Amino acid sequence: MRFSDFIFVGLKNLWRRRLRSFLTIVAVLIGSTAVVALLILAFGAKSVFIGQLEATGMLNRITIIGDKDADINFFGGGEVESEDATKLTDHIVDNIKLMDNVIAVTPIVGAHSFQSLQIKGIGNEKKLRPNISGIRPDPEFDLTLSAGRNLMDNEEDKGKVVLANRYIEALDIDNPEDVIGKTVTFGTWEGYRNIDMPLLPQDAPEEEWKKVQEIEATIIGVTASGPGDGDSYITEAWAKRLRTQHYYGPSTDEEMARVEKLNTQLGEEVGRTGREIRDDEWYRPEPTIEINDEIKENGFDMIYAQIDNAQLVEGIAASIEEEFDVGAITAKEFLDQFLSIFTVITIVLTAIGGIALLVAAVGIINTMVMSVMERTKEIGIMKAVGASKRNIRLMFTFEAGLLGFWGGVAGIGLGYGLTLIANYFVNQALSGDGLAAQNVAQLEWWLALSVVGFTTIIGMIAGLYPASRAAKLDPVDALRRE
Amino acid sequence: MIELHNVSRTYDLGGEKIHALDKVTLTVKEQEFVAIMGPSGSGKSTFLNLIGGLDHPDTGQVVVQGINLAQMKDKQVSRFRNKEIGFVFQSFHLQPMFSAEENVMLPLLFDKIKPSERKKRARKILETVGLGNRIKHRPSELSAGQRQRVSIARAIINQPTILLADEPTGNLDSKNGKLIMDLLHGLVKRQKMTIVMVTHDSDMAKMADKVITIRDGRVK
Repeated sequence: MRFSDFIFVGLKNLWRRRLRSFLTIVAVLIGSTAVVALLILAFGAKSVFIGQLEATGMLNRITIIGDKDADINFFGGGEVESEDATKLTDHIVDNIKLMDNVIAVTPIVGAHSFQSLQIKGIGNEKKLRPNISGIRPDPEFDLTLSAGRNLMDNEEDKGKVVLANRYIEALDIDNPEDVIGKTVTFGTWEGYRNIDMPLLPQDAPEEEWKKVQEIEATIIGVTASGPGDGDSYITEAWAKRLRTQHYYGPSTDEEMARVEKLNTQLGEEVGRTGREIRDDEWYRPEPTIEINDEIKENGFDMIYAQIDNAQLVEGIAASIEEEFDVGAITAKEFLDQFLSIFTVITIVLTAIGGIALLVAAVGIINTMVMSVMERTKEIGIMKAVGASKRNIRLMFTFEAGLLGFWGGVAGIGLGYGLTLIANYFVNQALSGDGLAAQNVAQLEWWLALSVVGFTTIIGMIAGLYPASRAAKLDPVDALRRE
Repeated sequence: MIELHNVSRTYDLGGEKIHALDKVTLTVKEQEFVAIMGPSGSGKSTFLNLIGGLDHPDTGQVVVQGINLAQMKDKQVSRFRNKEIGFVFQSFHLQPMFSAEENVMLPLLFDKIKPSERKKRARKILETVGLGNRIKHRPSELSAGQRQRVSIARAIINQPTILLADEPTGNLDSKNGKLIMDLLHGLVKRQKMTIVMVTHDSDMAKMADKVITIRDGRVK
């Protein structure tokens, strides 16, 4: 027999009992769909996600925070409450830079006082709480951008921003290139003035005090979508100034003494005339104008250190913690958590897929055994006209293999549909988490092929027993059946 | 051509031993048309099955064309059956789902012949048996006589040297029976085939060159 004969005869026989074949295939379909989902996760999503972390340099980064015990995640989210945090200073930055395998270090200065942004000429103002970080530009920290360029180390202090990709999506801008060179305005809360603004005179009208303050910046780049794409970047120097507060402080003792002296004189002078002193005649102390450079006072929010070898990141983080009494966080913990979720899903899917395929294999055996019994006479005829045991065995094995094959093909179809659905939800969930990875669920063609190959082999293995029964049938007995 | 030496074949039927053939020795010569007669259950069919290699003797030897069938492996016996033997059955044994053409093609399936070539040969042989206009018909759409002619076409498509016919006219009326007998007779003459035919119709047996009677597993 030719190879094509086995396929053709097998298909023809399956078609003869199409309902039963279909039902058997459905069982394979359930198993293969679980396997497809498993492969999408294990090979697709996992590697795509880790790949995106790798591409953004996250696996080579250490995030350093002042508080050793703070519950803070790798991307800088979380609360710092401890009071005995170590102050992150330039001294620490410089010393970390001197460590082996550290190729770049930057302080992170958050400018968190904004609650809206608007790109001139595009879209409406959005209340988005823009997350702006000041960094010390270094090619090592260059981000993968979807448009424009990164900040450079000779950048002007202020007025330039690498905009978060999230806003491009939020503002429904199709092409990030469109916003390069445009001006973006970040607005504060109503009445919030602590962004390095000169003080209003104390007697300025209330409306003036309540006004929303704005800063403008030219967009020079847009980050790529992926983990951490919710952050916009400006220079460290500008961020430091935006964190500097100007306020009226209490008068100094000298001023108070001076004013008291003047008022005493006034009282004496007017007292002699015997008249009342009018309110506006009294001398008042001048307030001091205080400037609070918050970063100078409290240190940087965070420090990023970039390591040249991802394998060494853990060890270096540990020595940074010890040496500077700070917290050093790596992506490992986050990644481990992420991978453990994957492991659980993988185990569940393996169990479902394994059990379903086992049941499907039993179904195939059942179908084929029935088929052999029904076709006993046919087998006898085939033997009488020259079919060898091997021919018969192969015919039934191929037929069973075809059941597995179609189950696998259907599983790929259904699995592909599930991929689309999974991507829709995963994209939404991740972008809500600040970890926007795009379309992590992907089905490679070679994986699809191997699933079909796998179910086909399962079918053939399940077919071995019925096929051997068919091959062993005594032709004389078989022909006697009516 | 066909030699049986001291062949015995016993069946175990519900604890009772049935001697289908009991120490049978006989010879069929080349291009001989032999009829085997005897009452039902006398071991006639067993005789055919042994020659065709479908069944094996308990003792004794079946030698066909000088080859002892017992010494051949399954693959070789199958090939021998495919190439050298043609079976014709009383109840035709056609595949109900297949067309006449597909039924006739069946023996060619167990050989590496191109599908187009199989079709060509099947059509030609169907024309030979007078069914050139029934190629696409299924067995249910054919008369009993036509079905037996399809069955004969299937048996001779590989131009075997031996045709084994088990009561080929048993399910046919006398007119169709005569037609089939003429066809078989023609095959002996034209294609130089050896035919062994089991029958219990003495009229049919008369058309054979030689009649062998089997009774209780023995040749009389």
